[in-house]
Amino acid sequence: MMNNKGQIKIQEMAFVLMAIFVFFALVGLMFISYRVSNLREGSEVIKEDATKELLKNIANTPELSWAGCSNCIDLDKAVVLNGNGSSEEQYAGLFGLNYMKIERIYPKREDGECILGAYPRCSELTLVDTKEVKGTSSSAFVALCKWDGELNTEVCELGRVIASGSGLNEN
Amino acid sequence: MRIKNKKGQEEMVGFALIVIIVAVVGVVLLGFALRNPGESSEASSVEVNQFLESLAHVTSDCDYNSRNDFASMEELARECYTNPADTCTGSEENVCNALNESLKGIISKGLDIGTEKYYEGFEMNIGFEPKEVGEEEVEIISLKEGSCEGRKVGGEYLISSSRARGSIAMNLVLCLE
Repeated sequence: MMNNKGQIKIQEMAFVLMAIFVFFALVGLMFISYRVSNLREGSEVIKEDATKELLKNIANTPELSWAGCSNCIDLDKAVVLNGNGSSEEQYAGLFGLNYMKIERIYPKREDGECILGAYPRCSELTLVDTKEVKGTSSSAFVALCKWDGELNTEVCELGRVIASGSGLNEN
Repeated sequence: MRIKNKKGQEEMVGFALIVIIVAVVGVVLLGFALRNPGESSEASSVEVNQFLESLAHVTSDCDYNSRNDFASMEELARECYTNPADTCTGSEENVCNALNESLKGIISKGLDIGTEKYYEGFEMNIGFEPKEVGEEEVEIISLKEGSCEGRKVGGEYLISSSRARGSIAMNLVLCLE
């Protein structure tokens, strides 16, 4: 009789210990999954930020840069490049991009591609378009600057570079 | 009878111990959750920083020095701080008003802001930040639109001031759902 009671006590103890163990295991699992999801989110943000910085570097290449400003694109240079048919393959190879477009955001412009005949009454320049699968594109804000011959001064507007390709996903 | 009572007490102590352990774990988890950056904290964003840097170079419609040389947003902010009574040549609009209107236009065109959009609202502040401790900060422009209760991302762009006692800071906070 005494032995039986002792066994029940041991069983009770074992159940309680198991319940506590399961409780802590569940709490631990919840904590780990929360941390992992946070880390994953953080790594996505860091990757996206690095891509934006890379896009800014593309804007700083001599073919596009505006002197004296680290975040500015020379719009006149970009329009000339856009008119030069061979630039698409050259840029696709140089930056590892299969798509690159510059959008003029503010002030608002007439819709249309900026080629030599239409410029400045246009809203976008497609510098690279290899017609391949574009994948996820990234964008970065830039200032688009040009020399205004009528006003005899430099004029800058707000723009955005949009690009996609393997060159942006290597970071 | 005494032994029975003692056994009952032991059971109760065991139960209380388990409750205490579970409560401690709960408190630790709660503390951890509260210590993490909450919903209302603001994370620095490369996108916002790039937007501000580009915005600072955008040319406005205001020529305040009558030299047919339209000021950039950066120059307009500096002028609004140093000579707030100045007006734009031709339109006679106050430089601070011109800055205000241009900022509104650029933000509305450049960023996707509004109800049911990616960003629900924004807060923009331009102010003078002195170098010396003890000197007072001066607010130049303050803009706010939409609701700003959820997660926030922000950035800052510093403009050197001609008075060299500090710098003019452009701060933009974008509010997500």
